[in-house]
Formats: sequence, C-alpha cells, structure tokens
Amino acid sequence: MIVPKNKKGWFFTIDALIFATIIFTAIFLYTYEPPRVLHTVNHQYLADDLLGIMSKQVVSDLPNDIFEKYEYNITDVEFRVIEQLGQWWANDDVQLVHDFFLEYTDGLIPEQNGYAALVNGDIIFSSTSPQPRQVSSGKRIVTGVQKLKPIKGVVANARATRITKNSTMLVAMQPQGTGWGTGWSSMTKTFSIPSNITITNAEMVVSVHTDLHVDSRQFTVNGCSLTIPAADYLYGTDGDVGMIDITHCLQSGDNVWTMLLRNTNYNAHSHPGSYIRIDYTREEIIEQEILTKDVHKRFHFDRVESIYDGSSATGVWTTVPFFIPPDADNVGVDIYVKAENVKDYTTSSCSMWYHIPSFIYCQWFWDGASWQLARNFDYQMFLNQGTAHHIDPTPSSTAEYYYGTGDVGHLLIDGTNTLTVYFNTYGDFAWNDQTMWISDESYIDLTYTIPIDTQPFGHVEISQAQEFGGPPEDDKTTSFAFPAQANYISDAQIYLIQRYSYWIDVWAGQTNPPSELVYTSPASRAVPGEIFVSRDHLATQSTVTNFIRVRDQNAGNEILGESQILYTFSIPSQVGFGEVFAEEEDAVADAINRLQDRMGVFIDATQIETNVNAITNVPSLWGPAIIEVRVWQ
Amino acid sequence: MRLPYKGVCFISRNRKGQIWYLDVFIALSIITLTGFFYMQHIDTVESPRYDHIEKAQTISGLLMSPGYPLDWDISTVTVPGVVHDYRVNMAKLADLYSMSHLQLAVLFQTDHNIYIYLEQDGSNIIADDKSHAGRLPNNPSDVAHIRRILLFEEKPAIMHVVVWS
Repeated sequence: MIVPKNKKGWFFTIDALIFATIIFTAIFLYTYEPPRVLHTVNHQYLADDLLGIMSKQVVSDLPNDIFEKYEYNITDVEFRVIEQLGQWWANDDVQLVHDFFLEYTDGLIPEQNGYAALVNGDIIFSSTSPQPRQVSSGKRIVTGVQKLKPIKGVVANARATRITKNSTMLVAMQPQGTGWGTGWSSMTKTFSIPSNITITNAEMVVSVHTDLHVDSRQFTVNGCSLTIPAADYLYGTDGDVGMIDITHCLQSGDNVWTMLLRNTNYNAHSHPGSYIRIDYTREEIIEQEILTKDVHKRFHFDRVESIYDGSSATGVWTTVPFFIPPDADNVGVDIYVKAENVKDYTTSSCSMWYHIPSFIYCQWFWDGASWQLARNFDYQMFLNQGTAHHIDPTPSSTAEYYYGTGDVGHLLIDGTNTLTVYFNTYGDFAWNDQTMWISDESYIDLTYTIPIDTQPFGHVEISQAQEFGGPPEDDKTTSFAFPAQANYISDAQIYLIQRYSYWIDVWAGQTNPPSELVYTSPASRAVPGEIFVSRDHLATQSTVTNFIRVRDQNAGNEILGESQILYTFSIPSQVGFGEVFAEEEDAVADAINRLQDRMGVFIDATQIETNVNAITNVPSLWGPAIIEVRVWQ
Repeated sequence: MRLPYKGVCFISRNRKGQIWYLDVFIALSIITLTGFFYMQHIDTVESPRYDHIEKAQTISGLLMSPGYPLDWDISTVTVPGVVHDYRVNMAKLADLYSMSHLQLAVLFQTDHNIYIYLEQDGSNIIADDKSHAGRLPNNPSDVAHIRRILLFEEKPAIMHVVVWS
C-alpha cells in the first residue's frame, strides 16, 4: 500500500488501479457502436448480377479498351460475353479467360468479398482473399461448348459410290421328274450371273433318284461335263446326294445347267437339294436409287424333258415355289404353263372305264401282273393345295394354260407358294410314249405393291449362306444371327438337301425350338427346292439368334447338314455427319473411317464420295457447360 | 512497505497444493464477464434490423426492373424500375433522381430513409446533374446496404441501395 506521508487525500493501491482500468474499459466498449453496414446480403446479388450482365452483353459492345485488347482472341463478335468465356475455356485458353474475367469484373466486387468463376467445375479465376466464411453461388448454362471441342469447324459425311462386296447366291433345280424305265429325264435350268463379279467358289449339289449305272447321272454347266465319282456320293443308293466344284464352269451372264438322269427300275427325278452355290465378289456402282412401290417378278420354269427311247414311258412334272411378302398389297399373278408333245391318253386310249367311287378311272396299262388304273387326267395343276386346282383330260399336243388372279388369286398365301404341274403322269404307273417336255417359256408373273419405307435406300445388299451343320436328321434345327451392321433384312431362303422327301414342315422364331410354322407342304411329295421365311419371323439384331427348324413328317427322310440357309441383309453405304473437326482433312478421314467400320468385312469401298459442311453457332452441338460465379465473405 | 507474506505468495510453504486469493478471483471474473457481454454486444450491432435488410432487397429488386408502366415517367410511375436487360435507362434514372424523398418513400412503401446512387470506375453516374436519389446517411443507427451490378453504356457499373434510420 502506498500512502503519501504528507497528504491526507485519496490513495491508490495497485489492485484498485487494475480494477478501475477494467471497469472503465468495459463501460467504453459496451457503449461503443460501430457503423451498422450490411455486407452479408450482397453475396447472392453480386453472383447473379455478374452472370446476368455477362449473359446480356454482346462481345462487340464491350468497352473499347477491353475489346481492343482481346480483339484477336475473340471468336465471334456476336457472342455474348458468357459464350466467349465458354469458348475460350473450351479451347483450354486458361490464362486468357482468367485475364479477361479479372479485367471485366475490376472494381465490381467489394474488397471485403472474394469471388471466383468456374466452368464445369474448372476454376478459371479465384480471389486469394479473404478466406470464405459465407459463400453464394450463381450459375448459367451455356450450350454449344465443350472442353477441347471446337464450335467452329467442319463436319463430313461419306457415301460409297463404288464398292466390292462379298456375297453368295444359290440357284435351285426344283424337285421334278420325268421318264420311266430306260427313257432319259432331261432337266435344264437357265440362270443369270451378274456381270462384274469374281467367283471365288462355286459348288454344285445334286440330290437325285436314279439307278446306279455310272452313266445314269450326267450333269453339265455351260457345256462343262461334270462327273461325280460314285465314291463321292454320300449314300451309294439310288436316291443319293453328291457335290462337285464347278467354279471353273460358270460365267457372267446366262448359264445353262442340265441334269440328264435315268432310272431303268423306276422313274428318274430330282429331290430337294439340287442347287448351285456361288460365292463371289462383285464390284458395284451405287447410284441414287429411285424407290418404287410396284414390284414385278417373273419366275421361269425349268425345262424338264422326258426322252423316249422307243420302249420307255414318258411324262413330266415340276414344282415351282414363289414368294409373296406378308406386307405386299394388290397382289396379282399370271401363270403360264406350256408343255410339248403331251398325249391325250386317258380319253383316247382307254380300253375300259371304271367309276370308283367318285372318280372315273381308266384301265389301260398291263404291268405284267395286273391292269393298272389311272384317273382321267392328262394334265393336273396344284397350287398350295392337296387337290388339283385344274385338270385337263383332253390336252392338246402343245398344251398351254393361263391362270390369272381371278382364277387362282384366292389360292395364294403369304410366304412360300407351291405350284406343281403334271403332264402324262398318273402316280407311278402310267406315261406317255414320246419325248415330251415342260417348256421353259412357262412362267409365273407376280406383281404387288409394297410400302416404300421397307425399301432400303443407300444400302448395299449382302447375301450370306450358312450350312445347317451337324449329322443328317429328319427333324433338324439350325440357327443364325444377322451381323451388327445389318439394318435392313430381307426374307431368308432355305435350300434343303434330302435324299428322299415326303412332307416338310418349317418353323422359325427366336426361341429354341421355334414356334411359328412358316411353311408346310400342301401335299405329299410337294417339297420345293427353296422355302422362303418371311422377315416378319426373323430378328435383325445381332444379339438375337434366329432358329429354323425343318422336319420331314416321314421319319427317316433325313435333312442333311449341308442344307443351306441364305439370309440377305443390307448395310448402309453411307454415314452421316460426325464430329466437328477444326481441319477439313480430319473430318473427311473420320467420315471414311466410320463408313469402313460400318461396312465391316462384307464390303470394300473402292470409291468414296464425301461432303464437307462448315459448322458454327449450333447451340446443341456440344455441352452444355455450366458457368458459375461464387462470391463470399 | 513489505506486504504480508501470505499476500504475495500463491503457494503456501507448508502446503503442497496451489491456492487462490479472493482479489485474483474477482479480477478474473470481471474480465471474463466483460468479454462475454462485449461479444454479445458486437453480434447485435453488426446486424441491422431485419426490416432494413428486407426493404433494401425489395427496393433493389424493383430498381433492377423496367418498372411499371414499362414506359413510366415521373407523372405515371407506380414502380420506379430503371433497368432493362441489366442496362440502365438514363431517362428513368433521371426521373428517379428527381424524386423527393417523400415520393420515394411512397413508391417504395417505406418509412425508412433511402439513398440510391450508381457508380462506375469510382465515380457516381450523373443523370440530369443529379448524382443520387434520396438522403445521404447522416449519423445512422441502422444501415442496410446492397450492391447490384448492371451495365451503364455497355460497361459494368454498380447500383448502391442504402436503407437507413
């Protein structure tokens, strides 16, 4: 304690001094009010307004000092400021966008606030102080920009104008037959091979029913004599299947394929499975197609000749399949059947008539043991039915028959139609006694209209053949899938190979076994050489498997693994505009690469036409990018 | 003078623990309480009254609009907005600056004082020789201040809106 010795007044102790200082300081501080200035509510307004002016101001309206400084970096003077920032960001001009933003916002944000700008999360500018305690954020979407993607540039498309494609065609000799005994059966098929093709492989497959004499199976293609060694036939029986390479025999244009058969013990005929498979490459020039709704197809008959040798019986028959798409409208058909040297037997040569019970039968042939009977039909025509649509008991020698839509239209079915004609054939027993033939002038004219949108445009059609595979079976299932590039498919065709045939059922679908019955023989032994499967029953996607099941109702009539399914699809011969490139050559190279990827292994484009377009200011081209402004205190 | 032994020594010689004396305890209590009340006081004075903030926000929002009618003038105005597409309309700004404080109070429906001015490059933007609208704050007890960014002659500028009492 300090007490002045010569004074009576007040005194301080050090404790009292400290106490008083604290008290006065507290009173001062409590009564002092700093200016009541608001800062915190500014954050959101500053962020939103900054984005707002950048969204509204056009680059050409920038203050002169800023415009002149960045003039040579400006992409487009019609851009908004925010779009220009996005473009610089897309070009990865980090320093440029930083400097511009800093200069543009100079003095707008109070010093006590910090702020930053971001594009798609990339910080393009940020204050270093103060440290953020409260942060507000505003955002705008800018379309048409994406990092490292130019918004001005060129795009290209490509179209193949000349291509080389790998494809396959099959030509079937329909099941048909003729003579009895020592007489020869001659079958002739004329078919066309497109020009500008290179045949890489061709094989003739025959399924015939003859005797086993070495000369009873004679084949030619364009005069090229083809002998299949007996050891090369699959069974070694009178009904048999053989194959031989005929690549060297084929030519562009018309080709003539003949089979000369004889069966001294029975009658000679072909079974399902006689066809020529041709694998080829072909150069095509692709031109702009003119789509037509109207379809006209003519199916010619093979020439089938039964050769009389002085003692044999003769007669001819053939089967002709034709296909009507399920989506075809206004279907019309004209059928012309012509045969030569037809004989009126059942009326003119009959020795005795029987009425059993509702048909009239003629007794006229003694087979050495008994008299054989025949119906009073010298000509019969079947169309998709087990009973004859037309018979003629008194044919002319040159027999000609016409059937129009009014005659047979009601018999037509969607899918595979089967027409069978017989001349002087009466089951297995009775025949003509002179050389006769079905003329290859015979035809089926088919007309229909089909919706345009099912027609491919700018596409290359490819056909691929696939074997069924596996061992011979009378109930056989195979599967296939279209390639990933296929975006249009046509109907598939089945080429069965059978040593003997009776009655065929075909199912198709995407389950195993398939459930949709797509064909059944209209009558026994009416098995065509090719059966169509409508694309309605097929799945285009490469990831989906199509199953085909074929069964012969007569157990033991096996279907060989060499049977073929021919499926046809289209691959686009063009690609549209792709990505934007800064350089024209890059855009063109990209378009060509995309075209070749699309064409895959099936097509080699030897001539490609490209178109280049300049692209700019397309808002939806890239992005969008999000531009964000953050302001904090 | 020599202080009593026990008055300056916090540790009793004949004891092993620590002890507190009454005056030290009182001093610490005073300091603690003073600090506590001061901090509470600071929190209170840095936030203006909420009605000031709300009014400043409302006024700034109206000013950033074209106003109503869209082509308003001093005789027709009901909402005195002066901005269209973030750009200042100088005619409307001049009309705003020419309004009396009472007119502003009526149009903005407030009994607080209002002070509005625009700034670009550190200088006030002048409209018809006027640099602001309303009353300059004079020894205010409560102030709410909001900045808005806009374009004046295609260059960024700042609009200040101050509500005070």
